[in-house]
Amino acid sequence: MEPIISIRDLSYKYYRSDDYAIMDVNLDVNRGEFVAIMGPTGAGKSTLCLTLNGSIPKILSGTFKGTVIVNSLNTLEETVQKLASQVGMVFQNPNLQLFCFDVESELAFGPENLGVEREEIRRRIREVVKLLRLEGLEKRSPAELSGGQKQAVAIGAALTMNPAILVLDEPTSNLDPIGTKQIFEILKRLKSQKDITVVMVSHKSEEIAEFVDRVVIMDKGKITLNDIPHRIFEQKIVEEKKYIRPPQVSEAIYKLKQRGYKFDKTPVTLEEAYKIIKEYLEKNNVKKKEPIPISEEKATKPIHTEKEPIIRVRNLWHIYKGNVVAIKNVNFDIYPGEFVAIIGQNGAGKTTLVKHFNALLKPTKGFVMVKDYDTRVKRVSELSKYVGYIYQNPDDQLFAESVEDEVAFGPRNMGLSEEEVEKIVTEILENLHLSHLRKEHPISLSLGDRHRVAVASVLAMKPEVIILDEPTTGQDFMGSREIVSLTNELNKQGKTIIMITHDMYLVAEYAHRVIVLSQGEILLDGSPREVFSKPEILAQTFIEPPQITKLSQKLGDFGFPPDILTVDEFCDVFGKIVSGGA
Amino acid sequence: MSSRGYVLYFEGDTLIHKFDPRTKIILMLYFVALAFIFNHPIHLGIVLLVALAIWFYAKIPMREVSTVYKYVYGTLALIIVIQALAFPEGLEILRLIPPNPLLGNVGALTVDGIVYGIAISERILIIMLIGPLVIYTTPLDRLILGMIKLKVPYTLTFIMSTALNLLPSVQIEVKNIQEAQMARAFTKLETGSFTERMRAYIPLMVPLIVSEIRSSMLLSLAMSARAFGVAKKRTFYHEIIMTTKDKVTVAVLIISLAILVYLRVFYGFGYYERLSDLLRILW
Repeated sequence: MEPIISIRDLSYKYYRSDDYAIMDVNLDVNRGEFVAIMGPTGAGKSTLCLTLNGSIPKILSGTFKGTVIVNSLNTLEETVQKLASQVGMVFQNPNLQLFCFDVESELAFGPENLGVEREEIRRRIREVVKLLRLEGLEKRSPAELSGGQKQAVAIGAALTMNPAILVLDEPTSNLDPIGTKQIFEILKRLKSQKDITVVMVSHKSEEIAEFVDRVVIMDKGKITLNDIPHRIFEQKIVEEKKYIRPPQVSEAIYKLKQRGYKFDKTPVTLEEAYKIIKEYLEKNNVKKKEPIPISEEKATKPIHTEKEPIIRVRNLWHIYKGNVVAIKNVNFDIYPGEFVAIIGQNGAGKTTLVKHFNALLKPTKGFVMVKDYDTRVKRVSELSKYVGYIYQNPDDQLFAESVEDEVAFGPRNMGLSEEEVEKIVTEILENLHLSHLRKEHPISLSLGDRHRVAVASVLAMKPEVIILDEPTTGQDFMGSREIVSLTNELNKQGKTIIMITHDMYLVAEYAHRVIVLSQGEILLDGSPREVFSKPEILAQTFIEPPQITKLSQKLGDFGFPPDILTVDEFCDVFGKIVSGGA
Repeated sequence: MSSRGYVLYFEGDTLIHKFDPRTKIILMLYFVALAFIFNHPIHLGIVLLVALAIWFYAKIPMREVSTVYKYVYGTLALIIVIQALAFPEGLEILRLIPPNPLLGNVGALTVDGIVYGIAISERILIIMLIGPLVIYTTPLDRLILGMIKLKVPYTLTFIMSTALNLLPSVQIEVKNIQEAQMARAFTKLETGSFTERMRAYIPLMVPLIVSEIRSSMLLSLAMSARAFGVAKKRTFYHEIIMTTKDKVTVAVLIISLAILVYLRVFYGFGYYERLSDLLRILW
């Protein structure tokens, strides 16, 4: 069978860029296949996507070599709009791709432009609404929908054009865990019910392993691996782990093999892993027993013995205009030196909550105390000495002419002398390995470096509390790791860390404490172990525990604790259980 | 919770909201035309009041009116002063620069000059009020449809819709960057004087422009990926219909405009050349 996408010797260099974004790419995709593209930032994944509907080189001109054939059309010979009916595109940012008044208009927009008959448009809308389970949302404004629903609408808007191929560029990176899973499920359904070919860029290893047919890995503009998930995650990537994170279950089996346990196969999904381990345990006559939570064995002592809280939140309400209740009567304390993760579904009120800590938002009712300061009467600029705020998007917080000016901005505003400022800037740039970029313009740096400059500029003010709002969104595996280990380092130096995130793997590994928000209220507040051992409650706010925790919970009959947090912990427990100990 | 495209629309069910987008575009052109055919401050003042009245009728939050004014205060004051000084004739109140060969008669504060300055300011205000009025009461996609149906060239429609889509994002972006500045102990935004606050906008320009170029690029990719502008013949899923009310309104607008132009051309209605004319009307 002829492939539906056929890329031959494709190289592309953006206008005025020195390097090729993609080089000598050859790729075939068969009709009805679901292909995931993975790889670090700057690998050329988005560029490759944009060549599939002719946006490159039709809209973004540059040096283009090679050919791209989609559904027997050469992209160089067709207009983007003609290709639009063949290749549906879904982008990362839902807000930029939804621009109509209501969901129905959004779904109609594509076929309208193609001049499809009105009756036919109506029929397609009905079909897509049913397929994507958007019933009841037709007349709603896209702005009112959750992140997951918005992306579902964006997918629907592409589908009503009846494309043979759907291309998605990191559609889930802004979504909560269950929203992410729903998008993958939708794509799988499309594949089976409509025979649509799906090409998707994503970093989410667990979902990729479960749903896709083939994984393509890119690095530095080239395709480095192209295989089925089983072979990709079996060993190749686990060995080159720096590159891409394998699903936790694959990593667990790999590590168990290293410890000398014999497994014939490497699982890539939770179900497979469960089956393989269960068989192993039964074969080795491991008896069933009651699971004992780890937290009961080693009672983790709270970090805040004898200390005064650094942040106190009392009866906090925040009501936006239009009577939108964002925070509903929230109470808690944060103690010096804690690493607190704030999690919850899109729109749960996480950002609204933390913006109260440096007075960017004022309470509608109740109050927030930072040290001895009431945020109702303190100004943001005054509180900034104590509470540093790092935004998700570094570009929102970089505005100086050079890296050194950027870092010096805060200390200068605090009224420090030029010598002191100079000393701080040199020290911070040194610590964050940015000294060589001192004179550069922040905007000219790479995403990872921009993020480090943003962190540096906040650290320069020596705040005791550091708030990070989804610091790893849009970062690749390496980038996320780097940010989080830097944060962890700061925490060890005594800084209080408050981090909003959807990345449960990071929460499990680093946080001391997890606050789970749902619709403006605190659903759970405890250690990661306590929180992740209550999957039913987490599901209410679209959160799932890490995969390894879920695996351990599934194996509860064999005495696996419900509050495993890391792969290494799982391997340790496995060892004890197999040897009859524990 | 940022969102684009919808922020500019204020929901309501007034007649203005219900009008066909085409009617509203014609209404806008009508006001722009009136602003230009009159130069009499009283006539322009009445047009301005009518425009304001429609704002109130459409129940657009007062905050929005003041936003519009906020940005033009200074400009308008400047226009009045410059016009007052530069108007070459009329009743002198105060002479700042003696008549000289280089500037001629310019340099005196004249009553005519002040009146003329006020008239120009009114014109600017009328246009600044009526444009947003249409945009605030019409969902963006309906407005685009209206423009397409009125045979506005595709490129222009595309530019308009892109600009309108990005406008809220500029506001959000400015707010984000300012918050980030405050969070880095920058006090001038919260406690600084007017000029200090204005000066604080300067460093925003580079990040803002970079991010808006990026956004507009993404938006144009997203819109072309949905075949915007492909077919000669576009389907309209939501038919926009000119109701009787629309038709009557458009007819009234066109006929009244014709009458006003006629009065203006043949009887000098709403037009004055010299203060003496104005005084004659007042007396």
